[in-house]
Amino acid sequence: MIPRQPVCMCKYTNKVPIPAELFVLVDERKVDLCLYTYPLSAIICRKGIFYFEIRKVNPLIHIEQVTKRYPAKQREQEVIALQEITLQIEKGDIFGIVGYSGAGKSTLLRILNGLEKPTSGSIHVNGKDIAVLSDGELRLLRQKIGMIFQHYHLLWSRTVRENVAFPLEIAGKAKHEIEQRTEELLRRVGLWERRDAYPSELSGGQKQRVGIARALANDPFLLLCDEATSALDPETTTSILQLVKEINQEMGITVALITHEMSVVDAICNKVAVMETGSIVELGEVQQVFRDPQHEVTKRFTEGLGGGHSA
Amino acid sequence: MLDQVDWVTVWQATLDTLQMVGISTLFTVLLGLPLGVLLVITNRGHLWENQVIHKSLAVVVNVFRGVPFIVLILLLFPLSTFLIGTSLGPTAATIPLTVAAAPFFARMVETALLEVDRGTLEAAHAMGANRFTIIRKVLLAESMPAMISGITVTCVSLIGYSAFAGIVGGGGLGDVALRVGFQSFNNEMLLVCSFILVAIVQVVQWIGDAISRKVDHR
Repeated sequence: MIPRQPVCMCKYTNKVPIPAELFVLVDERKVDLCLYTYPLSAIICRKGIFYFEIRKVNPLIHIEQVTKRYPAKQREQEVIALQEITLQIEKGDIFGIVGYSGAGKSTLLRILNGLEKPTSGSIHVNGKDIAVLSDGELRLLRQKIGMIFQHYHLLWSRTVRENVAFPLEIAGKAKHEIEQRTEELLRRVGLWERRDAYPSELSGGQKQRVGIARALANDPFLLLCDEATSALDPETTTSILQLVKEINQEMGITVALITHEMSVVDAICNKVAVMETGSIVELGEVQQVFRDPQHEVTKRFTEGLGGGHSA
Repeated sequence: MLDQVDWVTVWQATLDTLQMVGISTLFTVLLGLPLGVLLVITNRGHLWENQVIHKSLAVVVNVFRGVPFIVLILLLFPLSTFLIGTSLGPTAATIPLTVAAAPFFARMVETALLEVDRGTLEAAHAMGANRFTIIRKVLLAESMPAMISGITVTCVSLIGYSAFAGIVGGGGLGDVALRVGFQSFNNEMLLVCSFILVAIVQVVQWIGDAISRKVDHR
């Protein structure tokens, strides 16, 4: 029996969506009982024949030993942006990557949608090895990975609605479908009234909402946030983070975000990786890392948050 | 006052100038736009990096921009003869005008496209757009105001160039101003032709600015 709500409760009371492949099992193979043990495996039983199997549920993103070097140029030395990074992001995670500027978090985020190619190591997204995808396949994958940016990167020549329509045009959607979908999305982010405004007429928070609506247009399974709240005031930051959290819970979209503010991680993430000079120095559940920070950098990051996590 | 002005000649010359400028502006844009786009996207780290094409194009553009226009016209008149059978008249003059102005416009296109925010390009990449879409819907669409200003400046330059071209056989206001005005000591004719040229430049600039403002939502 799997509860038909697409989430289950687990450790640290994070809500995690049940992998779609388990529903398929129940429907197609007449499975009666399924124990889904977060995060990696599922135990499945079938009535009558005492059928039993343990199935490994693959993480949504699996990065193994990824290194990224920028080769030396005439006057600059070789830069090692990422050094043997290994990490997994599960379906339903809000995964925070923190670090000071130059730590390599931006490169790591761009590795996930193939904007940066690793020098060595492997990246699996949704079960696919990114390295073997053709250009066309990679573009199709990217249409299913939303991305939002610190400086929004909206097209200022387009209205709010036309901006949200852009990814749908890229995906080759029909006109009436684009109209319907853009209305849906703009109502969701609370900007339907401003649909004919140009980005230059909007506040920072509103621009980021357009960015989010645009990122969600093609029903992504993953949302990448590149310092998405770093240019916003605290109040707007809270509302944008709230929106990201709602998207994660209601639509089951996995989120990977990079930030230099621990308060962002504290607010919405369930897992965190702390980076320094291209390496992950600490990785784990947010509560655990906050309660007992091991590395110097992590301690510095968590200091500012006060003692709210001792319990 | 103005009784020495032959209005029929002036009218015909004005039409010739407008024809020369109109046609050569059109072909300059048709030729210079793809050239400018190619210059940008073949540059290092851009959409379609190709140093060989980039460097060759840059050399071609610089050669044509380096040669003084009056010399270029003289060199290119044989080309008009080859292409349309004559080197006389406003139609023949459009060929050297276009060849001279296209590299100039290509550089303006290049500047306009380089102003497009790199982040916006990255966002389009992240959305899974292909190169063609990025060129059309991001690069060109986002640089439209600068592009319109570029076309305006090019058109104004072409009005000036067309006066040169007129002198060596193209006809038009420049030709009339020189032959009928200056060389025949008919100052009124010289002034009227100059005034009309200035008026055309003003109108072109005014229209260009208006369109540029209308498409600018920054």
